[in-house]
Amino acid sequence: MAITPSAAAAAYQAVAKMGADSATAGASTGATTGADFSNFLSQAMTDAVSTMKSGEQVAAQQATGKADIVNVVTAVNNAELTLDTVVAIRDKVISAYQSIMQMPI
Amino acid sequence: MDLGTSMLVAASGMRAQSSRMRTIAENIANANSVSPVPGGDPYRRKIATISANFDNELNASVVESGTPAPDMTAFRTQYDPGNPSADKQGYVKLPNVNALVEIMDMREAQSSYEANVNALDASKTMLSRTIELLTK
Repeated sequence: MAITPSAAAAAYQAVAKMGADSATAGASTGATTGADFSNFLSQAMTDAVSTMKSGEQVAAQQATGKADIVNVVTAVNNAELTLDTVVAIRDKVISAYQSIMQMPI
Repeated sequence: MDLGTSMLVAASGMRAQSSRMRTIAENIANANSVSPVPGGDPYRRKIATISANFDNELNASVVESGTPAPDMTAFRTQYDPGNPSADKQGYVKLPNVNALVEIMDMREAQSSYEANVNALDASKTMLSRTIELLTK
């Protein structure tokens, strides 16, 4: 696998940007290199945020007495696990890129 | 996602047990509810119906609670001529609810609910521990 330092840096920037605006589920990336991972991460982040939103919706419904507490638990659990997975993968890949960038050339 | 599925199955069990608990609460609350008209029938005990249902989407058997079935056993009668619900002979029909039976049902529903909570908790812990492998 040929990863040039510049490509790694660009991809890392894309990833860092993704992490920064993950709260708003920003999907646009300026990366031309490492686009596959950016796309994956963007998709995963959007998914995670939408599961969190559905969890919040169910919780709000429960507060007004329209939803079962069991549904709230499952929805929030799902959201938590999805976000944990995405964050873990992001951290892992960022640390990989950092290792590449710190490589003496 | 087997662990995700097991969480949803456990949740369906919790839902079924809570609806069963609701039926039991109705029975206990109405244990002394007599008919509003003289000689009429009092509250009839309800039996929670719980059945297994295969969910094609989850590819697993989930629990489904149906509509409660009426308990057709005979009502208790009590001689109480002064009661407004008494019939011409002076007998009042009382609900066919046995408090001891309801309390046993309640305990059973509670234990089943707890078992489902534990199953859900275990599945979640297994998933979380697996995700933790990524962060090491």
